[in-house]
Parts: sequence; C-alpha cells; structure tokens
Amino acid sequence: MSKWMKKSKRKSKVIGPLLAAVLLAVVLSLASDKFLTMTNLMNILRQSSINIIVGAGMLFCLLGAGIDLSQGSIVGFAMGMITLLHMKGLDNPFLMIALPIAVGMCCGLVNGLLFTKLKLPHPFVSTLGMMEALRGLTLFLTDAKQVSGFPSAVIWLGSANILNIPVCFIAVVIISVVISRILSKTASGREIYSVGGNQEAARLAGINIDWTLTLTYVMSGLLCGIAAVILVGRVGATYPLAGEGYEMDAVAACVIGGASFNGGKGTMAGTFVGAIIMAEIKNGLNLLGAASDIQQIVVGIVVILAVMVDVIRTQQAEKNRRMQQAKAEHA
Amino acid sequence: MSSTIVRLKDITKFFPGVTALRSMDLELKRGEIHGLIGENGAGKSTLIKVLTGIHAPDQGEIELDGKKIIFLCDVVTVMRDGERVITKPSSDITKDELVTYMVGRKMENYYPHIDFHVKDTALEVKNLTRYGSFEDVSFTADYGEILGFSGLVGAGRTEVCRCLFGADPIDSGEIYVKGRKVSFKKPKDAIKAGIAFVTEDRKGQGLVLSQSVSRNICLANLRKFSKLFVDDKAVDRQAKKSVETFRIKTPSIETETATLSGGNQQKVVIAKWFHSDAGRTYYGADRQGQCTL
Repeated sequence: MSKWMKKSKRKSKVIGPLLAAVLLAVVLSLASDKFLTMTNLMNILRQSSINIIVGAGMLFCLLGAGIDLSQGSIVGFAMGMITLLHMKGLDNPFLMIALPIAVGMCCGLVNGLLFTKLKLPHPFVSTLGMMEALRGLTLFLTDAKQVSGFPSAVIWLGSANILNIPVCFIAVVIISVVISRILSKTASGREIYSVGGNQEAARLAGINIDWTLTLTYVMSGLLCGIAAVILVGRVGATYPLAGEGYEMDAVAACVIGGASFNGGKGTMAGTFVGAIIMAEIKNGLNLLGAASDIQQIVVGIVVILAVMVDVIRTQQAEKNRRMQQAKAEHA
Repeated sequence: MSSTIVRLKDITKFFPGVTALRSMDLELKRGEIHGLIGENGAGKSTLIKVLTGIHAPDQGEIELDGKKIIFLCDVVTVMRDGERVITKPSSDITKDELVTYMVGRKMENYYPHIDFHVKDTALEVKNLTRYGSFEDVSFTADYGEILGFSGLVGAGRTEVCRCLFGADPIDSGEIYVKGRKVSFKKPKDAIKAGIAFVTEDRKGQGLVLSQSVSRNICLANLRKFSKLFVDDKAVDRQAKKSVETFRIKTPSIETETATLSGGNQQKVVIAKWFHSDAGRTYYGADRQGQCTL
C-alpha cells in the first residue's frame, strides 16, 4: 500500500509539467504543420539534451537549497581541456572524453569546499567567483582558440543517430534515469532532500551537512563535464566562450519542473520535462518565424508563470495542511 | 459604562470533520484577569483566534469595547472539547478541582511512585562554560535516573543540552561520558557516544516537515539500511513498528509530518531518536529542561 502511495506521490509531482508539455505540443502542432514531423521532434530532443544534463546538475544544488552559477563556465573549462589536449597533440578519444568529465568533477569539488569550508553565507558568492575565474582561466589556457577536427569517437556522443534517434538524447535519458535513482534510492540522495528540507534538523540527526552539500556541487560539475562532451559533438568544435548562460537555462528547467529555491523540493523527471518544454517553446516559436530574442522573452514569461503556479500550489497545500493539523489536534 | 469589555456569545466553530468550539460563552470584565484553562485540544487557541479575528466563527456574536487584556487570573474559565465547563473566581477553586474539570474525571495521583536504584555515572560535566549562554555548570547524571533542570526562560538549560550534544561548541570545561573524556565537534559525535537531543523545537530542529513519517523516523539511522540502495522494506518496517510502539496517530507512514498534530509530531521525533545509535544504548533528551539518561 505504502509503496503505491510513494510512487503515486512522486508521479503527481510531474503530472503538472508533463501535462503542460503535451498541451504545448498540441497547440504548436496546430499553429504550424512543420511541428509534428519526425525531423522536428528529433530536433527538439537534440536541442533539449544539454539543458537536461546541466539541469540535472543544477537540481542537485537547488535540492540542497543552493545554486551553481558557475555551470556555464565549468562546461567551457571542461571543453577547454579538449582544446588543450589537441594543442598538445594528444588526440586520444578516451582522454578527450574522460578528462573534461574529471575536470568538471574537480571544479565542482572546489565549489563545494569553497562554500562549506569558508562557511560562506550562500553558494551564490562562491559559484559566482568560480564562474568568473574559470572563464578567465579557459581563455588563458586555450589562448581563446577555436578548434575543430576531433576523432569521431569524441564527437559521436553529440552528433550520431541510432535509428534516426539522436544518441545524445538516448544518453541523456539513461543519465536521467540513473540520476533519478541516485536521488530517490540512495542514502546520499535522500540526505540531500533532508538537508534541503531542514538543514538544522538534518544536522542534529547526525547527517554530515558539509559532505552532503559538497556532493551536490561535485555532481553539478560532473554533469557539466558530460555536457561539454555532448556539446563538442553537437557543434563539431571547441570554443572558449562555450556554455555561457547555461546555468540560467538550467535553473529555468528545474523551476518549470517544480524545484524550489528553498531546497528539498524537485525531481529529475520534472527537470527533464522542464527542459523539453523550453526546447518546445524555442523550437515552436522558431517555426513560427519569431526571432531568438522573442523566444527568450517567451521562455522568461513561462518561467515566471511556472513559479507562480508553484507558489499558488504551495499556498494551497499549506492551507490544507493547517486544516488537517487542526483536525488532528481536535481528534 | 459597563464593566464588560468583551463578550463572546454562543460561539461555534467548525473545521472539516471536527467541531472546535461549541456554543462557547466568555465574558471579560475591565480590570479583571481571566484565566482560560483546558487540556490540549480543548479549544483555547481557537477561541482566542476567534476573539482576535484570525478565525471567523460559524455561529455566535462578539461584543467588543476595544481594550487590551493582561495575564494573572482573578477568574478562570475551564474549557473541555470546545465547550465551557465552568467559570469561577480563582479564589473559589482548588487545583484539584481545576484538573478534574479539565480532564473530566478525578486525578488520584500526579506523581506515582516508581522504584528507583542508582546505578553507574553516565554523564559528568565539569565547569562547562559557553560565553553568553552559561558559565561554570557542573553536574552528574547516573544511569536509570531522570535528571530535571528547572529555570526561567533564558536560564541556559537548552543551551547546556545543545553543547552536551555537540550542536554548539563550548568555550571551557569538561564532559565525561561513562568516565571517558569526550569532545564533540558535531552532533554525530554525540550520537555515537550515546547522546540524543529530543528538542522542544520539534518543527524547527526535530523534523523535516515536508517529508513523510517514515523518512523522519529513519533520519538518524538511514545509513544502516543502505549498501548501494536503501532497503525500503526495512525502512518501512521500522516506521510501521514505531507507529505501533509509540502509538503515533497517522493515516499512513507516507503521510507528511506537517499534517500531524503536535503530540504525534513529537512522537515521530522520539521514534527517530529511539532508532539512532544513541537510542540503542542510552537516551538523552531535552524537553522543557529535563535531561534523561
């Protein structure tokens, strides 16, 4: 009985965004006959892939009531590692895939340690600093060079198709499932939710807050490293300003998917759907001939609407909770 | 000018599934201190909320003269289950009578005698100081003993307990657990040494309100259930057993703790500590100034 309750509780959290995604698809397919084609749908999946990955990383941080503003710079820095390897003549596909991911993790570790060990008031400060520093370091180390012509194994993840479905999307689905399991079925994942839900109660219960929060930043960095590998495949080249603004799109995807800045609230499935919705909007508006700045305005409005919906839902839930508690007190 | 400032007449208030106030009458006179007395759930808070406008009554009237009321009683009204039981001048009622009216039956024995044998010393505290909170605190507590600390708000009872638990650092002094000197850098250290902290602030420090009863009960020993993944069957078993043992009133173990009544929320907190490393051995609690070991 309780297993069913647990599953239905989690599903009910995603139903909202999922419904919105489907509704949006219906509206867009009516507005443009080019929307509901196989090519276009595959495009949407391809275009949402990186945001889903970076969004997953942001989700970890948001769950811990934090944020990672350096995500875009970590993607750029990780990509810069590929440039560096190429500059040194080390065109080894394994290195070119493993190093960005490892470096991403290290950047995340630095973020986590900076925030927890320096006892900063909010990770906004530490990740902002990292955002600037990493971008500068990337430009410096790569000499601001753009490079292309990498081994096919390296660009396979971001560019190949299997049976017409983009490999990057399949990879992203697999990664999303893994992340979802980590968050819901591992002790560390659940501790992240508890720390975000009530940090002091979690601390008093013996949970290691520093370790848990640092883990969220390590995961964010790791996922940004993976995003860099996908990106090099999608673009076919590395470029020093890669990743700029990725953290903002990531926050948007998480928030549309139901995550809260207060921590302890949000799901991988929600973030996934949130990123799809954003890609749908941009894609649909594109087909309708809207310029990219118009697309940005619309996405911005959607983010605000999503937060409003969430706030109203939370207030309603709070009211129900109070009534239920009053009922419980008098029973 | 009448001496009555406020009169509540025939106040009835419904919440879904429960009648909180039933034809409640209350009269507050100028210059008089009126005590409102009743058990948890009698309806005192609800009546006050009706009086101050937070809730609108479903039935009844409020007559107001617009003056403020202060504490210390001349007259008491006892409430039970949303109804007024009796109103009497406080000089005219004894404590036993008050309790009888509150509970609905006569209380024979407030402090039943329990057989108690002093065992070994569990905790010894010497000259404990935390600047700004307390200074030069010393005491011992033995196994099987319930040690009570009484003092006014601000006396430092909770602060001492938090330091004993490693929640706050101490500035000087020594703590010995089972005769061994200890230094706690964080709560986890204290839990390992067998100390738990059942806080009075259950909402702020005891529970993750947005999470279920089950998740809160295993908050302190989740790692015991997981190698790679959490063994949910075992977690649920622990939760169900706790609900039974502590008689926690909840629709299910998946219910959000925020919706439970205060008393049941506190039971969830206690269940959590019972299952922690500390609960296994001995049990340290701070609840309105009482340390239990």
